[in-house]
Amino acid sequence: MSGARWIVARREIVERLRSRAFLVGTALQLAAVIVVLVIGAVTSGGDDTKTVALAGASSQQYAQPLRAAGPALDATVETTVAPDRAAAVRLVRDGDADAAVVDGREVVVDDDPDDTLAAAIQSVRRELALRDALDRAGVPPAELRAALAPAPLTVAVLDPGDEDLGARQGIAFIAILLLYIAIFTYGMWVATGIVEEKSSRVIEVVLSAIRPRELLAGKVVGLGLLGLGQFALVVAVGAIGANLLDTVDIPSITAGWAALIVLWFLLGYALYACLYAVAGAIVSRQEDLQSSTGGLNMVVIGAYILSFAALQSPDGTLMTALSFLPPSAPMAMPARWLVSDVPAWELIASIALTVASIAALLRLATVVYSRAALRMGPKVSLRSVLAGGRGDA
Amino acid sequence: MSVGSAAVLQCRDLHLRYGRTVALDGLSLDVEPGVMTGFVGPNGAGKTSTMRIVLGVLGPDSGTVTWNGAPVDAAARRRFGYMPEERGLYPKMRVADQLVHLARLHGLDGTEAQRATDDLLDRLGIADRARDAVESLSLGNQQRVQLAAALVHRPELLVLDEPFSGLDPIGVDVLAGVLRDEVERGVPVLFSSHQLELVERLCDRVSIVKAGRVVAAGGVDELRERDRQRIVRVEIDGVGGTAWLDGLPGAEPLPDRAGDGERSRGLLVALADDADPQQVLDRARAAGPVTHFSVVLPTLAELFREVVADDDAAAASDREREPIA
Repeated sequence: MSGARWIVARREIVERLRSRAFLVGTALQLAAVIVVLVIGAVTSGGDDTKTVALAGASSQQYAQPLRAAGPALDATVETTVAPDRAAAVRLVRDGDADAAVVDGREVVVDDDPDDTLAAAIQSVRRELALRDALDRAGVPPAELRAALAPAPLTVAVLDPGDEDLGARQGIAFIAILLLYIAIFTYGMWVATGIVEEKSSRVIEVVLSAIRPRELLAGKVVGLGLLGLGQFALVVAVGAIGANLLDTVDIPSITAGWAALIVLWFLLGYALYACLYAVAGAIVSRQEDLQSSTGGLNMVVIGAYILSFAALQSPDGTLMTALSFLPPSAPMAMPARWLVSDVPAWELIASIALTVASIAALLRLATVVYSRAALRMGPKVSLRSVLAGGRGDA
Repeated sequence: MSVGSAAVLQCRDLHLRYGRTVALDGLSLDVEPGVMTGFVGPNGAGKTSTMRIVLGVLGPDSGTVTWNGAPVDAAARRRFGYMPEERGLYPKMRVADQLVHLARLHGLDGTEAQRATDDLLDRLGIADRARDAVESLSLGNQQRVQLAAALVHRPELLVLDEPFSGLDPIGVDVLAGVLRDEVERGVPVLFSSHQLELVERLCDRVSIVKAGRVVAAGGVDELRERDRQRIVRVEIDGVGGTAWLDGLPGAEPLPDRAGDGERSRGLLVALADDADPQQVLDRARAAGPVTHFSVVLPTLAELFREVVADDDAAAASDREREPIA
């Protein structure tokens, strides 16, 4: 990159870092990420503990087997002693206990939609009944223990990925959302930045010193670096926070995934920055920007919604197609990669296709920008610019 | 306008069309070193287009621009200073930051750019606003920053499109002073203006452009003397008005030259080529005692009107249009 491009890029970065809007925006994004993480941590109850109140002497024998049943419930089970039925019911109603066993005869639950805890208690009851029966039949204690707590079966998992598919899908949804927001936001920065220079007419002063393509490249690179920094910060805070708070059930929001998402951000930004540059170049007033970026916004939003919807079946035809089409690949491919086993060649092919599109769009943007940068007044049609506007790149 | 002139900047045979509109029709222009050149002409004659072509902001359909004998390239243009007709700066950027940025785009390094900016802000009397956003400045001060933007990289050529428009008389004096300084440093200055008295006062040379061509160019006095239109000033004691001229062929009363000092007495009469000044004097003496009779040079404004109004100026200015409407 030549000196002029860096000088332009530097100005974009310095001026935006200085602007209150940028700082507030960054703070809001980080706050949103943290809020999402905290909500996730709270609602999923990272330390999943079930408390069972035991009322009456005949209930006390449930304590040890219930605690032992914890792992099967994916939770830690604690027991507490309640003096009588009323006290046990109050504990359950107030949420201090998830269930109560009264006099070894009755189970009280407030809300146990999938009956897991109640089922566990029922199973403990069967176990106790069995133990008593075997005990009465004179089975020796060693055999009794062996019968009641046999060595667990070994489990052969045929499709190990499926286990945390849900969590990975969740991460993929968030990744799509973040990529969409980032591409949209920073793409619009490019368009508004271009129009700002046109509407303030400073463009003519600048273009008397440097070439249009230098100005465009400097702007796109500067805003891209700034966007990259902001995006990487949000992703890093999200990933580190998720691992710290243990919100997401798997340990593997790996650096590799984060790097892949950031790579696709760069590709997506580069692709859409070219298009937003075209949208910005053909108008001269901020008011006209809405109409000139309207179609493009629909493409970004469409790519986002389709990727989001198609992720429900990550190996389906739609998702596969979206992960190769350049307008949607920056969102669909990393999401697909997170969720299913994508052959490496597909990833590479998709990147290559996107890079090729970027190269073509960069040429288009440079030509349009060079020709239209000094055209003031109403929106000019893209066709008339391409047919023979003037100005040199 | 000979090719072998002392001009450092030469525009030769520039042609430019916007669709069916002809903006430049073989325009040629010379700018000499250490000389202030005025560029005048009606709206739409092609002044702005020419300046934009010199600065490379616009490409001509044909024709050449040379600087010191070589075609102007990006490196040469980086050493030009430009004030576009449409003023523009980054509104939210601080004054000093903005000037440093522009100086660096023109090739100065960071230290030089900072020093040049400080010097210039001092010189223009706005050093105390260096850290303010441009949009917070008064219009007059914004104009000064705009001028600073054209000067900050110590250009070797200054091209200013209507630099005086919108300035109050004090602003005009400040700008005129700055431009004179630049000319004294040997920097050629080309500026366009509709304020012809100002051009006459400031410029050594002038180029009058009409319908995309230069129709008159040269030293200001030289042009005034060379003009084929002759003007006489007649004062008749006790006789006002123009009635005494009625019926004399080839003689037209001219509007008074306001603010022309001691000469603003009597009546100015423009004479056609075949008219005889003695006939005017005879008429005047018949009307009363003549206290003053002299041949005067046309002002630039009169020259301009004559040159431009020659034929189809009105039609031309309807047809022609500045590129950026």
